[in-house]
Amino acid sequence: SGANQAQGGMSTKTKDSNSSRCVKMLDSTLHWVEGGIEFLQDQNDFLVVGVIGMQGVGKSTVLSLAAGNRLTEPQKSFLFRPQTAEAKEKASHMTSGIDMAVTNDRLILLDTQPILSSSVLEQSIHYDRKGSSDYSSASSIEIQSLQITAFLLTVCHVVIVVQDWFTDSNIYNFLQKAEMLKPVSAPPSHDSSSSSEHSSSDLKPVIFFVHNKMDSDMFGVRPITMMNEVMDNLVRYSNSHCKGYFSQIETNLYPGLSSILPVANEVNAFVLPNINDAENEEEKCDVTKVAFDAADKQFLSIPQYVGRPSTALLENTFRKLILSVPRHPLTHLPLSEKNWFHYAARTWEALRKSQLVTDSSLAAYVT
Amino acid sequence: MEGLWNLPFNDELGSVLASEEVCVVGVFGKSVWGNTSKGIVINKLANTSLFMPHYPSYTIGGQTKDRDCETAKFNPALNGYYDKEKHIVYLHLTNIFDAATLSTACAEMGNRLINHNDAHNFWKSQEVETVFSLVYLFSICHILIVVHPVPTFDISYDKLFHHVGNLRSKMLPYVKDVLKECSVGRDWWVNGRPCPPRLLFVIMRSDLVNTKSSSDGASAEGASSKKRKPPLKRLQHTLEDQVYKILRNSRVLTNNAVNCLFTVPPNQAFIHIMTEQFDKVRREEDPVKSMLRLLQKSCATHRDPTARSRAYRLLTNPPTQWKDSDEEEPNNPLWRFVEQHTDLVFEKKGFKDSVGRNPLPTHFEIPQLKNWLKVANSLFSLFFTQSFQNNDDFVKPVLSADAKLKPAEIRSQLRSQMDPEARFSEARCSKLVSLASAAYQSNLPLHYTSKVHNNQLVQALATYTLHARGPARDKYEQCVREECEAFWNDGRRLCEVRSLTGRHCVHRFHDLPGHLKPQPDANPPRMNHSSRSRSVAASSCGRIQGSRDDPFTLKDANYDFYTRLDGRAPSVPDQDIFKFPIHIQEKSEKMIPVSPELCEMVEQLKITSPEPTVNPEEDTSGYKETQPSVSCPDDAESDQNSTQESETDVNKEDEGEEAERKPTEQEDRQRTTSTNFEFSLDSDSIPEVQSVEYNDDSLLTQTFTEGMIHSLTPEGILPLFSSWSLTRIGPASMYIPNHGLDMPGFIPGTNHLVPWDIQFHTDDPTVTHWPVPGEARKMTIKETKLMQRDSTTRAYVGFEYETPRGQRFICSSPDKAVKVSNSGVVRDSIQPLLDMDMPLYTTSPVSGRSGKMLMGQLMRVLVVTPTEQNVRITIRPKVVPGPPPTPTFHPSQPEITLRSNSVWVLRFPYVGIWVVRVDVKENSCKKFNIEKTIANITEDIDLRQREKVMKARKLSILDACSSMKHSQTRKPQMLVSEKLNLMVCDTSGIGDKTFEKFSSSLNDIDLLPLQETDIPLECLAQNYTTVIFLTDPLERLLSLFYNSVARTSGVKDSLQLTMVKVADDNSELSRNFKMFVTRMLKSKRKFVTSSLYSEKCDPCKVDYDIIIKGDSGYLDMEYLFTLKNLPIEKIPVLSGNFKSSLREQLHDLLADDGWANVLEDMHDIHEKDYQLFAFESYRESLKN
Repeated sequence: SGANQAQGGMSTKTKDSNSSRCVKMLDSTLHWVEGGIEFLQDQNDFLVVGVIGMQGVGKSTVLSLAAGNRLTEPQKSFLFRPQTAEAKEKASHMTSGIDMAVTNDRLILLDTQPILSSSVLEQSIHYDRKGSSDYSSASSIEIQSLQITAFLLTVCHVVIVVQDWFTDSNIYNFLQKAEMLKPVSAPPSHDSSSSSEHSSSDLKPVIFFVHNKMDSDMFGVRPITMMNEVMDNLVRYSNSHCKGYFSQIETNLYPGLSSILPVANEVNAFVLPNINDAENEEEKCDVTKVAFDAADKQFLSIPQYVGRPSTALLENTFRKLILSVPRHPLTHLPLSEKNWFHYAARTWEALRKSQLVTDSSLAAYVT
Repeated sequence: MEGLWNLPFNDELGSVLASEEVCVVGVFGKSVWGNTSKGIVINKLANTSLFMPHYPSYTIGGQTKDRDCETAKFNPALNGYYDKEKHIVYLHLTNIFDAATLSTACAEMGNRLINHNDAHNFWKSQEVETVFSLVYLFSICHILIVVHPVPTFDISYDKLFHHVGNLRSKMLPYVKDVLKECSVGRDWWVNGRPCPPRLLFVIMRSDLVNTKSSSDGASAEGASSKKRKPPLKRLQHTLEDQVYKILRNSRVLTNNAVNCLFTVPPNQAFIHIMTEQFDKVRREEDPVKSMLRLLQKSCATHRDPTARSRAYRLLTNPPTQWKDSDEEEPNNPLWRFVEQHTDLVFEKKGFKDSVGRNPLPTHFEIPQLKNWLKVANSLFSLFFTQSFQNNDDFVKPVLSADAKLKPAEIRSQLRSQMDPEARFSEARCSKLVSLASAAYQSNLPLHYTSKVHNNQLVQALATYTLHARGPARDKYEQCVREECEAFWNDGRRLCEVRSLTGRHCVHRFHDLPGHLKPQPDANPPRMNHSSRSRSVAASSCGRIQGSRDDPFTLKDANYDFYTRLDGRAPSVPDQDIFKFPIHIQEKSEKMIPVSPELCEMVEQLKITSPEPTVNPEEDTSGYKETQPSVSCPDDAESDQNSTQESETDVNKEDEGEEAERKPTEQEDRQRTTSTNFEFSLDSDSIPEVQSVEYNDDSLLTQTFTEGMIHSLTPEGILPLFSSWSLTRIGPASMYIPNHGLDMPGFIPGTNHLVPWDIQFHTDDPTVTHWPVPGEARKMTIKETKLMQRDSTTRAYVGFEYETPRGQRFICSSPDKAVKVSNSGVVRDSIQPLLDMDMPLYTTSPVSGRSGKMLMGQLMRVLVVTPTEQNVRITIRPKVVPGPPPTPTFHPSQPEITLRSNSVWVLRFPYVGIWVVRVDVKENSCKKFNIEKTIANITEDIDLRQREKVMKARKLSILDACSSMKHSQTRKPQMLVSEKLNLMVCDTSGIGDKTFEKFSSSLNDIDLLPLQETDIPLECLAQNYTTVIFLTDPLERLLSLFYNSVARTSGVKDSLQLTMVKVADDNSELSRNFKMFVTRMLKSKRKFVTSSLYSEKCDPCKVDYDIIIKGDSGYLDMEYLFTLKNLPIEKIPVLSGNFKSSLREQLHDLLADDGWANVLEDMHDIHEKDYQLFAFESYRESLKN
C-alpha cells in the first residue's frame, strides 16, 4: 500500500511541492524560529525525515529527492537549495541551522547544516575571536553537531545519514556519540507501565544510510554486500533502528543480491550515483562523423555502458522507500503536527541546556 | 630496493645506492577501496603502478579464509617504495581509515566482537595504533601528504594532530635514546626528527571542473582578480585559508616551526586537488568500462573507409613501440605540486616556515639512504615491538628494559585519553545501578517468588536501559542483575517448591530437614514444605476420614499419609492386606542406586510436569473434557479348567482391542485423561494373597524407582513403596445391598455398589466355554440367557470418587452417579462399568458450599466377591492419565486375583503421581539428534552442489574455448581473473563455424543447471562464468535490451548473457586490446598474476574478441516469452544457427506481432531507461 501511496503522491504533487518553499526552524545562530508552525496542521498522520552529513555530501539534494525533485531538474527548482558552484569554490556550506519544509504527502523534511564542518568552524573562529567558551572552537563545533544530531534522533521518524564516499568510520562513531547524548524520553508517569513498555522500542528513530555520488562500480552486488558488511559491523550496537526498514534486496534493483547478502544482516542503505559523472558517461559519439553504415549508426548512438540502474529508476525507488516507512509514534502520546512542532522546540531547548552535553567527561573528550 | 618493501628493511644495499641522499615522503589519510584507493597518489608521483588497487582481502561468505587472525593483523601497515630516479623514499600508511582495510577488519572480526564493549575496544585500539604510526611517520619524514577523497578539510584531523603531538613529545626521550646509536646530526638527535616536516594535502576529487562555463556563471557578480582564476584554483586557495585558520586557532600551528608537529608553507601551495588525474585513473583502470570504450572506438575507426588496413598499421607501428606510449605523462600536475617541496629538500635549504617577526631558525638534515634506513628500522622497533612482543628476534639491543616498558605505559595512557566515550558511558551507567535497584525494590513484599522477582527485574532493567548509554551498558546491566539477585537471595526468597497439586510452599526459602544441598540463600531455616492447603481424604479402606496436608512428595501423597490414617482405622488382619511387591532396601544399599541427580530430576519432574498433574479442586471448566473411562472388556466367564496360558491370550487380545478402539474414542470424546481398568473374571481357585517374590540378585544398577510403575518402566524395576493399596475389609456379608456402604463422607444415595450377576457352570467341567480370543465380547444376551440355567451368583462393584472436601460418591457409568430406588435397590446396569473406561475425574453431583462444582477423583474401587469359591475375579487396574505418550500406570503387580467372599477395596494413588519418567525425555533427545544430523548433511549437499555447478560451468567454458581451432599452429590463450570476475579469451576469426560451435556450447553451459531442477537458483547467481561477448551491433542492442528486462521484471537472481561481436576486420580493437593486456601484464596487477592459464599472452598474432564477465539473459528471455505466451523455442539466443540466421529470425519475429509487442512493452516498462535505440527505425532497416 505504501508503494501505491507513493506513486499516487508522485504523480499529483510534484508541482505543488515546488511552489512551497522551506522555512527556517533553527536560524544560523541555532535559535528556534516559530514561523514553521504555519505550515503544519492538526492531524496525526505525518512523517518527519531529517538528514545529517558532512559538508557537501548532498544532504539538501537527497532531501529534495525525497520531496519529489529529480536530479536532472535545474537546481533552482529544488526544494532545498543544493550547494552552488560558488559555494563549492568557497568550500562553504549552503544550509545553516535547520530548514523545514512540508510536502503534500505530509512529509516534514528537516535539512540541517553540515556536521563537523570546517566551514562552520571557520565562521565560528571568525565570530568569537575572544575565545569565550571553555572549549576549543573545534570542540564547540563538535558539540554543536552532536546537539543537532541528537535533536534529529529525537524528533524524526527517519534520519538519513548521507555520505559521499565510502566510508569514513568517524561518522559511525559520531552517530553513537549523538545517541549517547539523546535525551531520555521517559514514559509519562501517569501512564500505566504496560502500555509504555511495548512502545518504548518503537520510539527509536530509523537510520537510513544513503551513499551519494557513488561511482558506478559501487553498484554491483558484491560492493553493496561489502558495504553492508562494514555498516553492519559499525552500527551493530546502535540504539536506533539501523536494519529492516529500507531493503535494497527488496527493491530488485540488483539481481542476485539476495543470494549473497543475508536479509537479516541488511542495513538500511541506498546508493545514489554521482550525477556529474553520469553526464560524462552519457556523452555520445558524434554519430554523423562515423556513420558509414546504418547499423553502425545505430550501434554508436547507443548510450555508453553505465553499469548501474538508471538515475530515474533510482530516484523513484528512493522516494518510494521513504514514503513507505511506517509512521510510528514519536512519543508515548500521539502527536499532531502542531504538537510535534512544540515538542521539537522543547526538545531543542532541553538539548541546549542538557547536562549530558556539558557533562564533564564528554567535555574532556572534546577539548 | 626494487619494488615494494616493508619496514624494517634489512636487505643489503649497493654502496652507490646506500650513500644516496634521499628525501622521505609519507602518505596517509582516508580513501575508498578499489582502483581509486590512495596508493594511486604515489603511483602518479613516482610514475609506477606498484601500489595496487586496494580491495578488501577476503571473499564474501568467507568460508575459504581461515580466520585465525589476531587483532594485530589489522594494525596500520607501512609500505615503502624507493624512486631511484628522483631519490625519494615513499612510505604508504594503510589503516582502518582506508575502506578496504576497514572492510577486511569488519568481515574477519565481525563475529568475534560479541558485545558492545569488545567492539568499542577493538576500534579504539585501532585508532591508538594509528596515532602511533603517525608519530613514527612524523619522526622520519621530510614531507607528509594527507590524502582525502573529497574537497573539505576533515576537522577530525585537528584532534588527531593534537594526539599525535602529545604522543610525540612523550616519546621524544626514547626516540633520542634510539637516535644516539645512529649517526645523525645533533639537531636531528635533539629534535628527534630530521626537520619539522611539511604537511601537504591532496584531495582526490571535486565536483568542480576547470571549464569556462561554470566559472562564467559565478563571476557574474564581481570581477576581482581572484575570480578570474579557474574554480579549482579558487577552491584550493579557500581551502588553504580555511585549514591554516583552523590549525592556527587550535594551536597545532604556531609561529615557531621547531615546536610544531608539522608546518605548512606560508607562500607555496600546500593543497592539491587532483580531479583530472583521478578521473583518468578511474576511467582507465576500470576494466569493463575501458574495454567497452576501446570497443566503441575501434568500431568507429575500422569502418572508416579512409582508414588504412590493419596490416599496414601493424607494419608502421609495430607492437614494440606501443610500450608506454601513454604512460609517461608529459604533464603531471601532482608531481609538479610535490616537486616544489622536494626541491627545497634536495637544495638542503630546509623549510623556512616559521612566521612572526623574529622567526627562529629551523634545523634541516638530508640523510643518506643507509643512515635513514637505520633510523627507520630502529624507530620502527621502538614504536611497534609491542605488537610483536612474543617475537624475540625483534628485541633490539638499543633499548633498555626500562625503555621498552615505558612506551607500553604511554600507550595505555593514550588509550584512555582517546576514549572519553568509555569514560562517559562508565560514569553514566554506574550511576544508574542504584537507580535501577531502587526501581527493583519498590513495592516488594517481604518474601516473593521468582515470578515477582523477574517482573521487578524487568522493571529495573527497563529503567536502566532508558538511561544507560554507550559501551559500558552491558557491564552495568550485569551489575543491576546481580544486585537484584543478591537482594532477593538475602532472605527475601520464597520457597517455590510446588506441591503435587500445584501450590507453592508458603514459607520463605528453606532447607528440608535431612538435606544438605548448597543453596543460594546463605543460611536457610530447616522446615518442611507447606502450602497451608488441606483437604479431607478417607483412609485406604475408606472407613474413616482424616485431613490431609497438601503433599509435596509422592511418598507423602500415596504412602505416608495413608499409613498414618490407616493406623487409626479399625485394624485389618495382616493377611487381608494385599502386599504389592516393592523394593526392600537393605541396609548395605544406602540409597546408592538412586543417584542424587536422579533425585533432583524426579523432584523437578514433579514440579515441572503440571500437565498430567490434575488438580481436582480446580474449576471444573478446565477439566470438562476429562472423560477417561474404565473398560472391562473381558466379562467372559470361564471354566475352572482354564489355564494360565489361555488367560494371557485373552489379555493380549484385550489390549489389542483396546488399542484399536482408543483412537476413535479419543476423537469422539476428546479426552485428555483416562483411567483404564481391566477386569478379568475367572473361576479358578483363589490363591492366597501373598507377596510376590522378586529378583534381588538383579544386576541392574537401578532396581527400583522412587516414582510409580508404568508402561515405560523397564522390566524388573520395583517401587520403593506402593502407591496403591488393596485391602480386604471383611467378608462379603459385611455389605448389605439395601443399605449400601456404611462409610463416612458419602453423598446420600450414592453409597450403593452395582450388582453384577455372574453365570457359570457347576456341573460339567468338560464342556468349556472358554472364549476364543475376541469372541467374548460378541456374546449376545441371548446366549448368556441360554446358559443361565447353569448357575448364577452375584458380585458387587463400585467406583468411588472422592472430592478434596471429603465428599464421596459411587458412579455406575462414566460421569454418572449411581441411582438407588427408595427401597435401596440399584437399578443401574453393571455393563457400563465392565465395558467402558471410567474417567479419572468427574464432577460431584452435589456442589460445594460456595456453589462451586467440585471435582471428584476416582480413588477407590470396591468389589464384593461372591461367596462361591470357584468364581474368581481378577483385576488389572491401569491409569491412563493422558493421551500418548503419557505412559499407562499400573501397580507393581499388574494383575491380582481377588479372594472370594470378601469386600475388597482397591485404593488408587492420589493426584500428582503421573510423573513422566526420565526415559521418555531421553527418547525425545535422541530424535532431536537425528534430525540435526540430517540437517547438516543437506547443507553439505547444497554447498557441494553449488561448487559442482560452478566447476562444471567453468570447465565447460574452458573446454569450449580450448576446443576452438584458431589456426593450425597456435593453441588458444586464456586469462581468467577470479578477483575481478573477468575472463579474457582470444577466439578465432569471427564468423566461421567454430565460433558458432563455441557460442552454442556456451549456451549449453547455461542450460546445464536449468535441467537439474534440484539445484537451487541461488547456485546460479554467483556470476562467475557469465560472459559478455562482443559481437555485432544487433546483438549489442539485444544485450542492452535483456539488461533492461532484468532490471524491471523482478526476476531475481537471473543471469544475463550478453553477446556483442565486432565484425571481422577489427584491427583497432586488437591493437587497443593488446595494449590493455600488455599494460595489465606489465603492471603485475593481481588479476593477471593469478591467471590460471597463461602468464604470457602473445597479443600480436590474432584478432581478438573480448570476453567480459557479464550475466546471461536466457532466464529473462524465457520469463518474457512466457509472459507474452510466445513459444520458447523462438528465443533467438538459443536457437542452433546462431549467427548466420539470427537476422532472419529476428526479422521473422519482428514481423510476427508478438515479438514486436514484447520489445515495445519492454520499452515502456523501462521508462526509456536506456533510451536504447530508435526502435521503429531499426525495424525499418531490417525490412529493407
